[in-house]
This record gives sequence, structure tokens and C-alpha cells, in this order.
Amino acid sequence: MSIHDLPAALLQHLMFTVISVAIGFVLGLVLGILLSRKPSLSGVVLPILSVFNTIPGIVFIGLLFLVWGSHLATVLVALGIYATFPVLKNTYAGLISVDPQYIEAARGCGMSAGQSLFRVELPLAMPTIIGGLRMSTVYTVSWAVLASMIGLGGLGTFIYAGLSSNDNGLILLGAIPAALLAFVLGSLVDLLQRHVVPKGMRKAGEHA
Amino acid sequence: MLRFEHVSLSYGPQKILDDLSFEIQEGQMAVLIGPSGCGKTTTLKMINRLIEPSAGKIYINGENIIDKDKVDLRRHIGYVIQQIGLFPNMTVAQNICVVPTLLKYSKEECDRIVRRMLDMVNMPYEQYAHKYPSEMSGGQQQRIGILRALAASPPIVLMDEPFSALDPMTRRSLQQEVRSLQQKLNKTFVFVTHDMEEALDLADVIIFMNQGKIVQMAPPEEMLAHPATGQIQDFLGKFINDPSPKDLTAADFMRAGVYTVSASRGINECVSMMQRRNVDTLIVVDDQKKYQGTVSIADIRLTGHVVKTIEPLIRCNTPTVHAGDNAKDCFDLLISSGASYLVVLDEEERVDGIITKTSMASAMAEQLWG
Repeated sequence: MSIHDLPAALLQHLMFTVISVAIGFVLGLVLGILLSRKPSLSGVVLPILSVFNTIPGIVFIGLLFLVWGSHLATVLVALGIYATFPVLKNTYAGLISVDPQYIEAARGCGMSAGQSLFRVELPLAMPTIIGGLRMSTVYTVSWAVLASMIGLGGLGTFIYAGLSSNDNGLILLGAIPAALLAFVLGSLVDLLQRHVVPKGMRKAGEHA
Repeated sequence: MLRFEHVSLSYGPQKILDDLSFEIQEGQMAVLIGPSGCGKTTTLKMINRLIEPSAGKIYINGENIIDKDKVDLRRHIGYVIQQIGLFPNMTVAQNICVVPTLLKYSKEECDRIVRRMLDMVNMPYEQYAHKYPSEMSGGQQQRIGILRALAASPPIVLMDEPFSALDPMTRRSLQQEVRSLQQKLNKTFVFVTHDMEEALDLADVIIFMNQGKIVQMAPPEEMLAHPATGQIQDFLGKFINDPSPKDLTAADFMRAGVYTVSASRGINECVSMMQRRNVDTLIVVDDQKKYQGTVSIADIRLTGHVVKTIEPLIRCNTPTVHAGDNAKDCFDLLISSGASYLVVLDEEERVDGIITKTSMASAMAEQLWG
């Protein structure tokens, strides 16, 4: 365990994060959309998800490890599921809070349900959805530390090694890059936010 | 063009619309009006099937709209809503072309439409086409809202209280614009409002609704002249023309219910009557209640001791007018004659009332201050 192993571990960590967030984003978006079409279901589904969300990631990864063993899939599925929650919640919240006047206008203009969703509702909910993606990204960077717990590498390796050998330097060697990674990925999502938020909805002063 | 046949809507036991039947002609501006909750907006939304009736049929150009695809139907009916509802994620040009885009018009065709539409409301293409709704005032936004409804040139345009959120100045100018657009394009408009002034200004025909029923359907002039119910009259309120001062008659200015005596009454009786009523003259009528003249206390004092009844003392020096006479002439007569009152007679020469300076003044005050 030395600084020479850092680039590989960082890359591994980044890979865990990006793939899991990608899975979580797609899953969260689709489920969020489905839930927003049937708001009556949300009264049941959202509380269940919240309860599920409170199960510590370490417990969930541990359980999945017991069932599936030490596979890449174990980590990606576990992190992916956790990454789903913020996106799902924000997608649902964003779609539900679209001002009804726009939905009525869309229907009145002769848009089908799908056209209304893709041309009007999703663009209007986009700032909230991307907010969910940001949360999900930053969380996943920290949860990905757990991958090393089942021997799959990433920055967690340094932290666990440091903890077990009482080497603070080693802990920091894992923790600081993880924190920086969270910061950098968060900033990247912010950059994305500026591109996907419809021009007409950006605050004054942000117009190019 | 647009025909409702026995259309009803109920939610459970509650009747929202109750057996509506009416027809709107092509090229007409029909205005639905009534108190809130009367069903006018519901009626409007049935035309583009945002709300479906529980009974009855709606025909557009003879075709039952229930047989048409909802989405396709709406693409051929313009729709303007009160909250404007321009899509904030789209530019003015994109908003105008929402329906043409849905109908898969070419890009060039859409661009032509945007230019023509903006030109119609005198908004320069270069200045506005690429703006976002949030960069414009409410009035400009609703102008675009109207253009969006007109862009695919639908034969019918529905407007649901489109101007009620705008300030009065903007509302006036948009009303005029809608009126001129409607006449220029010769489309059928159905317009919902709660503002009678708007209805009277815009409508070819006004449909007044209350509690889910049509109370009266008539052109504005006819509704003004013959409002069907007291409620409509209340809605018309100040728009019903008060009689102009020129049309006032003596009857409007007189004090009715004046006391008269018969010519055969005795002197003493009349004197005590005058004292009791604190007047110095009495109006005398004959047996058929026809006007004979007046007797004054001065004459009675002078010659009352030589006669028994008041008949010989009757004088005809008090000016008389008829109930239908022009009020201004009565006023002139009252002032120029120097008499303290005029006697107003009906067609059979019976006494209807009198005009005094006081009754005249109070009638004028009524005119002036209501």
C-alpha cells in the first residue's frame, strides 16, 4: 500500500461511482416518471423507499456480498440502488411541481401524453432532476469506499488499511482523494446543470 | 358550425351542466358569460374534449367530436388560457409553432408562420422571435399566447378568460386586437369571460349561463334591450342606458298624489282644509275628476263672504302641462311664468301631480347623482 497504488485505486473508485450513478440515474428517472403518472401510488411507494434508504449502505453491501459473493456486480448493484433514491425522489418532485397551466396548455395544444412529458414537463423539471443527480453523485463517491470492504479495491482500500494499521497518513491518502473526487464530480454535474436547464428558465444575469 | 345537443355533465348527484343546446355560426364571436361556477369554462373545455360530457352530443361542422381522435381534434382548435401558459423552456418562435410542429410542418413553413404571426400584432420578428416568455410583459406574453392558438389556422379558437389577469389598459388593447384578428381571419371564436363590458364589446352573440343552464342567448344589443332575467340585468348594470336628460318628461319631475277638491265644496270647508295642509291654493276638479282650475286663499278672503261654494272663485291662471311633455319645457315654463307650481294632467285632463321647484330640484339631483 503506497502512493504508487493511488492512481489505480482512484480510477477504480471513479469507475464504481460513474457506473453506479449511471444505473441509478436511469432507474431513478424512469421510476420517478412512472410514479409521477400515478401520484396516488406515491403515498405508498415513497415511504417504503425512505425506510429502505435508511438501511446503512454497509449493511446492504454486506448482505448482498453474502448472497452474491465478491463480484463487481455486487458493488455496482448496491451502489446503483442507493444512487437511485435521490434521482427518483427529485424526478417525482420535479414533475409533480410543474405548474398545471403548462400541462393544460400542452394538452390544449394537442400534445399526446408522451409529447407533453418530453417537450414540456421533463424540461421544466430538469433543474430539480439534475439536483438529484448531484446528490446521488456526491453520496456515491463516499459509499464507493465500502467496495474495499469486500475486497474490490478503490480508495476505500487505503482507508481500511490505515484504520487497521493505525496509519493516519494512509487514511488521509484515501480520504483526501475521495473528497476531491466528490468535489470535482459535483462540479461537473453543476456544469451539466447549466447546459440542460432550459435557457428561458435560467435566472436573470445567467443569459449568455 | 358548432352545435351542442342536450349536453349535460354531472359528477355524482351534482349537475354541473344541465341540458345545454345551442348553435354558434361560422365566423361568429360567441361569448359565454355568467357568475362563477355557472359552467361556462366547463362548456368551453368540452369543445376540445378536455372535459367529456356525461350525456349529449357536440358537433363541429356536422361531425360528432366524440368520433374524432382527441389529440388530433385539439390540434385543429386554438386554445388560449387565462394563465397564458407559454412554455418557459421555449422561445417565442417555438411557442408560436408548437401546433405546426406537432402537425409536422417543415422548418421553413414554421418560420414563415412565425414571421406572419408576429407581423399581425406588430411585434418585430428580429426583436421578439428569439426571446423567452420570462423576458416579456404579461400583455406581450398573452399576445404570443393568442398567436400560438392561431398559428395552425384552426377554424375554431377557444379563449378561457384570456385577459382577466392583465391590467385594464393592456386588456383594452388586446380586446381590440382580438376583435380585429377575428374579423380579419373570419374564424369562429368561443370566448369565456365574467366581464360584461368585454362581452358587450367583443360578442356577436352572448350566451348567459347560470347554474349549468343557458339563461339567454342573444346579440349584445338585444340583451341590453331585453335582458331575460333580473340577474342578467344586474350583470349588464351600468351598461343599460339610463334615459338621457333629453328624454325626461314632466312625469319624471312631478310630485304625484296631490290633493284635489270638487268645485261644489263650501268655502269654509276649503279654508280649514288649506289651514290644515298649510297651502294657499287648492286644485279643483269636476265630478269626472277633470281639472277645472285653482282657488286661492286671497280670492276667498276678498269675495268669499258673498258665495257659498268655491265654484265662482275658480281661476285658470295656473299653467298646466301634460305628463308626456318635455321636462326642459316644463322647467322653462315654471321659471318664466312665475307660478309657484305647474299642474300636470294626464290624457283625460285629470290631475296627475304638480311640479314645484322642490320636486324639480330633487328629480335633477336624482339624475345627477343617482
